[in-house]
Amino acid sequence: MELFAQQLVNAISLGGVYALLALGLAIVFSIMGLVNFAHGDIMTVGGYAMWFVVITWGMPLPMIAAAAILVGLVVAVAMERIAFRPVRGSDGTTMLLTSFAVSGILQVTFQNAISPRPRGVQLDPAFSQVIRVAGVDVGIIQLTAIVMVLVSLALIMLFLRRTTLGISMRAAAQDFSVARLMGIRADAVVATAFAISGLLAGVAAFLWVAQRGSVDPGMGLTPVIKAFIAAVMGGLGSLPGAVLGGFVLGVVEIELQAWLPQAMLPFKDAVALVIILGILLWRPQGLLGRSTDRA
Amino acid sequence: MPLLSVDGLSVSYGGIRAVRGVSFSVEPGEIVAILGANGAGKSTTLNAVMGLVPKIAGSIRFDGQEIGTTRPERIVRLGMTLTPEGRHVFSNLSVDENLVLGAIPLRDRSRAEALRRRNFERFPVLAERRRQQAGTLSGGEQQMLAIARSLMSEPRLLLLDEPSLGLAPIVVDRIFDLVQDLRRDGVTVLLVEQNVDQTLSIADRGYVLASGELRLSGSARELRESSGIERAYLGIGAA
Amino acid sequence: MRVPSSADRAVEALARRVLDPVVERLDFDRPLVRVLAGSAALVGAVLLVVVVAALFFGPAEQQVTLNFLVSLIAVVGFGIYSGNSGILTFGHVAFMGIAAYASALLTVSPAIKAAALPNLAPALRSIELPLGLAIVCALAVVAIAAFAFGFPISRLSAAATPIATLAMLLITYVVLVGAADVTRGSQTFYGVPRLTDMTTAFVFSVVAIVVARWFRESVPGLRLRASREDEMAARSMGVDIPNLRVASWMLSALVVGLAGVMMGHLLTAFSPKQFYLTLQFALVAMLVVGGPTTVTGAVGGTFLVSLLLEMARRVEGLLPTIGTDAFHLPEIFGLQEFTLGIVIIAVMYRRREGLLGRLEIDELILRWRRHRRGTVSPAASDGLAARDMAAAREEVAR
Repeated sequence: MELFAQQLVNAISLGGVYALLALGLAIVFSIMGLVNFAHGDIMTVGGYAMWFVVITWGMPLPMIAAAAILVGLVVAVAMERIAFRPVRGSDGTTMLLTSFAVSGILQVTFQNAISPRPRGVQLDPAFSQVIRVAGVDVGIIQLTAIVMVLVSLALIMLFLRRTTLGISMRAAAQDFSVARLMGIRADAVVATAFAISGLLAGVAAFLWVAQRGSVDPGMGLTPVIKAFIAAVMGGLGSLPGAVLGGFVLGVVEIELQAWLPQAMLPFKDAVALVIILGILLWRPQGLLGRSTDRA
Repeated sequence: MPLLSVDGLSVSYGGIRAVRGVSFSVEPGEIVAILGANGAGKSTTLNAVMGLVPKIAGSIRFDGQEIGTTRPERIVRLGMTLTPEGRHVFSNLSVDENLVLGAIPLRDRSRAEALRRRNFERFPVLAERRRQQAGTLSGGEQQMLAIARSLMSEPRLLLLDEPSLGLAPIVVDRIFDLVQDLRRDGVTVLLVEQNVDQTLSIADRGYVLASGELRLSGSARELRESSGIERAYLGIGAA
Repeated sequence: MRVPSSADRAVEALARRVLDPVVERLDFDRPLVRVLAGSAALVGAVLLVVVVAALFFGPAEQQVTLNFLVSLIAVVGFGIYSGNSGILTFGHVAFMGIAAYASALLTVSPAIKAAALPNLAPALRSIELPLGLAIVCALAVVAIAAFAFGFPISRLSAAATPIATLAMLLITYVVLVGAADVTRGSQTFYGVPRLTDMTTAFVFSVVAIVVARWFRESVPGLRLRASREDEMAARSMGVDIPNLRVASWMLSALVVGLAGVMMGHLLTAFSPKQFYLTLQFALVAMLVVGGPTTVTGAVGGTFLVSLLLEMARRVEGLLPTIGTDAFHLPEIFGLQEFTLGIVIIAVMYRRREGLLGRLEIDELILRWRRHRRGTVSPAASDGLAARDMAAAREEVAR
């Protein structure tokens, strides 16, 4: 029972980060058909923002988190304005390649402007303490992760359900040109999609860097590839699917961590991804995807 | 002054001219029909008028203002909207949410509330299903929702693209009654249809398209009496 | 009207004497003729590059040429899948890595293996094969891996597939790093015999080009291209898209694997990082810059991007040496990657179908001859080509 609770905490805190990233990817994809390869670099910029805030002002934790989130949001919106607007409305391949190139350019920029080596981000040591809650050891970071993930998801859900702009986003995700007939402004919807995805990437960056204690130019890459595949597993374009996919991936990884024999541990990521490919073999359209999703 | 006047409109799709030099106009308070067979360019014409597909030539004036390059979201705010062919309600959204979106161009929220009430009076079935997902409605109900959604922006001119498509005859009758009601409420209607007889029985004037070109035009009575319509449909050419 | 220069006239005379008689005798409606003529033209161009490098340049440039040939095999291999199916792959470099390690394991001398890989299974430790056999074995391994990945991936939607190929690359990378007993993990695998020379690399380039061109003109290739233009229509005509995608995926993986073997025996020492995103990035750029839908585009793009990368590499080396003691230009890491990014974006913004467009070299030459001989004016024939394209699309759409 305690073991189960322990693993549940681990799975939610890890899967939650994937869920945030996957949700951001899915929102942008569902609105404009872009598979944004550069999403990981938004996360990386968020990480660098934390590093900068820590070494320059040594600010308290909430400020550091706010910096990561705000910078993620601004970078995502700027990325759309500068790089993706010229290819908006073109086929998926064109947009994907553009984002691939943007990602390459950003990584080279980080290497040159900051450093190719990891930069340490020292947070308040109290933050990495472990407390005992009902017989379960819970890291404060994990607890923060769970709270931040759940709050973010709840806020996004409220936004999408309760506000006119949120309803517009769901409409545009389903049929962009009919949404325009409603007078929904294409620019506003796309910009909002990027803002949300950047905000979520910022939250993910904060939680990720808080766990690892450092940031490097390629930091966002691996978690975002995993989040991508989580979104595909959930059903590409389905927002609840992306969140579900992220959590499933978290559970799979934590279980593998717990049960894989020592000799197999280096292959943990590979095994997790193979399991997901297996799930996709069984349901090619994803767990919550419709069988005809847009190509 | 006509509410909508289109002059020499040409649209091309992937190198093929779908609409060639089409001109027509709609006066305030009229019901004007555009008739033609499948692939005649009727929907393309409406989409171009709304700015959903780019035109390659011609001018489009709404209420005296040139809107040939205006974006659809602007055009809706000027007072013209389109209920697209095949309904296209947002199936994942509830009936209420669909109507909320329709009212986006309105600045006045209380006006939106009044319009919603008016729409629920007009379509009681929608009021019953307001919390239901639009995708779960029947075809006729979806068509009513699509029209109601368009009316939420209080258009002066409503473009209706094949509203009777795929509906049972009794539902089709209701839709045509509704179009007449709309005129009584002061909405001008440009109606694209394949259902010639019923359309000409409610329309004031009509235009007939074939292969992307205007073949015939005249009052509804003239069109009913002319034999040119069938010939235009068969692609033999205009009288 | 431009006055024809003497060079123009020389080209025209040459074309009239050599090209026209050939063109007239060949029946370009037959796929085999198109395959052979198109391949011959491309091979001729590649041969020209090789000969010029061998005759007029030193070892450094020859090394660059070898890299070019290996990239060419890989990019042409990518194109067999991506070009015909219209779905980009971001993972085929995985097959290069698998092939490179497999071939290396089979060719490294037992003495080196004993030192570098003490935990290797005895059967593998004692083995030392010639290149030909090693290639066959390496490609067999690639075929197994390609099928294992290709089968589930080909069932995904076109939008989800590139992501899944990325996952495939990540899986392969993790496995190559993790299987330290066989690969030395993230450490360098050394002592691989240098078996890739200009001749082998050229011969395999020819193989890659012919195979790719043949697949493109074959019935399955044509069906796959139809599915690229309009998936729904192709499906309704009874085209079995998943199986066609698997078939082209396998063929593509084998050719890419061949490039991996060549690369391994060119580098002689490598680590899994060399078969990861940086290489994938460069190869994707080569494919899309030239035009992903044709073999001609793959070859041309590889040449152009290789040239750009080499220039960037030299500039990168030069920058810190420019300037005075007081002012040095900063060293720029990754100028090559930066160049790749800019090139991809430029092509995406300005010319999405790639610099060489959608026509193969034989089609381009034929068109040029028709213009020159005045049967159709260039403008009219361009219009014709556009209309043909539209008609073909209509055909598929129906």
